[in-house]
Amino acid sequence: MSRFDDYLWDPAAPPDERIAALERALEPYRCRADADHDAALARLYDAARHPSRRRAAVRRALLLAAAALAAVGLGTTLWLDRAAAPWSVALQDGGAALSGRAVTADARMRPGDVLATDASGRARLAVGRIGQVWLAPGSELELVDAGEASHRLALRRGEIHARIWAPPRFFVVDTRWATAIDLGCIYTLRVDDDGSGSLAVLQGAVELRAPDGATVYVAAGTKAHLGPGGPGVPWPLGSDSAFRGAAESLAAGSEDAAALATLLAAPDAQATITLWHLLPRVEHDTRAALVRRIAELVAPPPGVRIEDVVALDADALRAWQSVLSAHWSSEPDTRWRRFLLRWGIAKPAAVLHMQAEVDD
Amino acid sequence: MSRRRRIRLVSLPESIPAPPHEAPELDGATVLAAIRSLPEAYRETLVLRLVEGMSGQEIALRTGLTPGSVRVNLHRGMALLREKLERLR
Repeated sequence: MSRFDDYLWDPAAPPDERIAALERALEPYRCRADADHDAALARLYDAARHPSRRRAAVRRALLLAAAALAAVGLGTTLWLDRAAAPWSVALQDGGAALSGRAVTADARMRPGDVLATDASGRARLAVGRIGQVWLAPGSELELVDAGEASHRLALRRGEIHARIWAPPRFFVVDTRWATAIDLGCIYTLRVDDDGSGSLAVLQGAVELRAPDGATVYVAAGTKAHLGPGGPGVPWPLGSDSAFRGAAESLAAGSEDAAALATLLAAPDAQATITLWHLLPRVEHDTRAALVRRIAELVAPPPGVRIEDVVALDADALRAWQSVLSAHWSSEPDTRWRRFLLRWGIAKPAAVLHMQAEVDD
Repeated sequence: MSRRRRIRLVSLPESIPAPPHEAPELDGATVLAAIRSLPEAYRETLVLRLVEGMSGQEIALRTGLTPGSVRVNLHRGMALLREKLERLR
């Protein structure tokens, strides 16, 4: 066996530079799969949304993290072996139906099927071989496409927590007012009965696309509403209610000076995600003020002129956004941080911010 | 209820460039695009190995494929991927 063969099979073997170069190029997209840890994240998120259940849920999450650590000692294959079969449905609590029939132990979802949980039902769906989706109580989820080009679901109502390990844009979830396009890796999507809802990203990023093609980039640690106008502007989960209200006010077409002043006091570079997404939705003078504030927090790259950004020049926007987007995620992208997250030793920053938002 | 008022949106750029790397030798987005153009069996195996950093054994357990199939997919997939990337250089 050559060094190339050994390293291709086992990343712990001495590295082959040809493969290592590919790994380095793809490293920004990495997000290791860990079903137990994902379940812990789902419960932490649920606890943050429902404070009364937080303590018990955190206890369960810590127990899961401890179980994951114990599994390391016994051999990681024990839990890897439990990987679900493609598109299998597992009922975790309460009741659920698959296209009108009660979910059974060997239930499989096929295109056209609708998975519905009752008021206390919780279910887990294996998304082909690329991820898992947890379905919250009172939810309806349709499998639209399970093809080679893409995997597509439609969330009619309720809430899903998705964990995906696939190339960006391969996994898509339709809602009434926007389509969530996975850019990797973990997020929670909610749709209320009237079609409005929200998207919160815990790790990686998601693109929200409105029916008219407008897009919103939701990074880890940020959240955006969905409504009849399409996706709203994203805001950092740790931001206060005044900041969120000001952003929603301007996004809705208001030229409220107080709201603008609140946004111009944006505290850090992550908050530029909100200011940036407001640019195409506000009038020229307001846009110019927002652009100047963004530039104070994150300088535009060489060659990008402020006046071009204010004029919404596509090339200037693209160039600056490529620099800005690195500041939008709340999750430091380091090997050590990923190690801590992988084994449940640390919580994702987004979860902590989510809890702070509930406490706010 | 002004926040529910329908407004006209202007699209921001559709593609989000990959986060910058300290010493980029290959462009991650280009490599990903090349992987996405491969047949599914190779695509899935290569993503789990090159993006997620799993070993062949872990990939076999995760996907339900035999270790032999994973090994074949890795080798054939890597050969195709390198050919595609060479053509792009």
